[in-house]
Amino acid sequence: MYLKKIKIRFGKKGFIGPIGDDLPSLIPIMISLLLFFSIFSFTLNIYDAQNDEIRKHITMISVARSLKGDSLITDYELFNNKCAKIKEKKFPYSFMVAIYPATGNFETLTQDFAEAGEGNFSINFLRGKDEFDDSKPYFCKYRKLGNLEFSSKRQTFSPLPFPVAVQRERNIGGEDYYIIEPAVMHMVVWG
Amino acid sequence: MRKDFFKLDSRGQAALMDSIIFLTIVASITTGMFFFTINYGTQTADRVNSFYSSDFAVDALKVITYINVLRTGEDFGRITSMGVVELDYLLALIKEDYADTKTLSPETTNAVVATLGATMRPFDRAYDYAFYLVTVSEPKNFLFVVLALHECTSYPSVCADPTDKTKEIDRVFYYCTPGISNFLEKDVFPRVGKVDSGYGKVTLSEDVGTRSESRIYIMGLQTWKARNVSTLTDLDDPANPLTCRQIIIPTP
Repeated sequence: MYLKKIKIRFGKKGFIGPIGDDLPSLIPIMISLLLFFSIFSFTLNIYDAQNDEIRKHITMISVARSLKGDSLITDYELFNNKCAKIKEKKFPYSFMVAIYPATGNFETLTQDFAEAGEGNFSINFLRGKDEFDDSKPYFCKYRKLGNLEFSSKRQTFSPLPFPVAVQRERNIGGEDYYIIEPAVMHMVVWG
Repeated sequence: MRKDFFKLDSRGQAALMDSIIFLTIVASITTGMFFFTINYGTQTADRVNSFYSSDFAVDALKVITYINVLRTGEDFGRITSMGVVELDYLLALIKEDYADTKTLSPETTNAVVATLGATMRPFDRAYDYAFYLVTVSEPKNFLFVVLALHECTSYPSVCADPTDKTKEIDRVFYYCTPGISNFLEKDVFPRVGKVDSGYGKVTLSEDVGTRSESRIYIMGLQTWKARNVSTLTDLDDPANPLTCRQIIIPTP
């Protein structure tokens, strides 16, 4: 009896086959799946990119706050010690920080950082004296293990300036003075 | 039996209907997901940006109070006198002048503007700002307000033409002693967009007879993205109630 019923079913018009019969319904299903997975991957990409940007921004602010402290940098040694302490924190991104005089040239900022990453410090960087009285640039670099150098990532460059006051030795009218002057701390984060 | 036949014939259509419903559901979910994605992180990014902006204003205010100024109000890069120079802090100059006359001397006024100019120089292209000292107690009285604005300095006919690209926009400083207590809130801030603020408290003393009287002032620095504001041009017009005068500081 059961077999007979089946036979009748197969004999009905409109039946193409087990797949052929469902072919029209497969098209919307395929479109749905395609739509879902494309939007899903788009969402994931945007989500990752946005999170990455926000984390970079937070890293930037956090590092800058630690380095500039109360926005007063009294000497190179203080800056250098803070830099060494920050490096110990193992940030998830690489960063470079440089201090420029307020009257400095900021046109070549990207180039300055790219070259400083390779050890060639720009003349635009503010300089201080270390414990041996050697002139050193106010520059701090942290490169996360496995990250590329900054120059190869220049497209993602997003520098942020922070106003700071720096104490420097200056000669005015033939006399040497320690003067607190305005400066600007520039920073790049990548990785 | 007839019912069964009907079901058998409709199976393909039912599957098609199911898949269309499925497509509709997926489409609505993905639309929601798309709009979520577009807006994702904007609020957080705005919040992080506002951390930076408020940090920026507070840092700039700190730097203004930290840096040394010459008591003559001259710029370090343009000192003409040889030999020993007198260095001080801006607040010290302001306090001295206040104690003497309750107003700022021309040298201190120049020092205030020169200090602001030097501190904010790296951000000059992007920002306009107001730096002021105002009493905490009501009615609020400004000791002074320095407005640093971008202004068209070409011929008036060139400035008036919005299509003219040759106009020169320069940094202009106005030193004002306004009698109106709320002019920043009323005439400036509503027209300039987002304003970032840094504040500090300063106590200024004056001699009244044999005793000294102190007054608490708020020192404020408020920055905003540079833009042309029609109510903030030619402030040095004598008819302007803000009683401003333009101060020119030499560029280094």
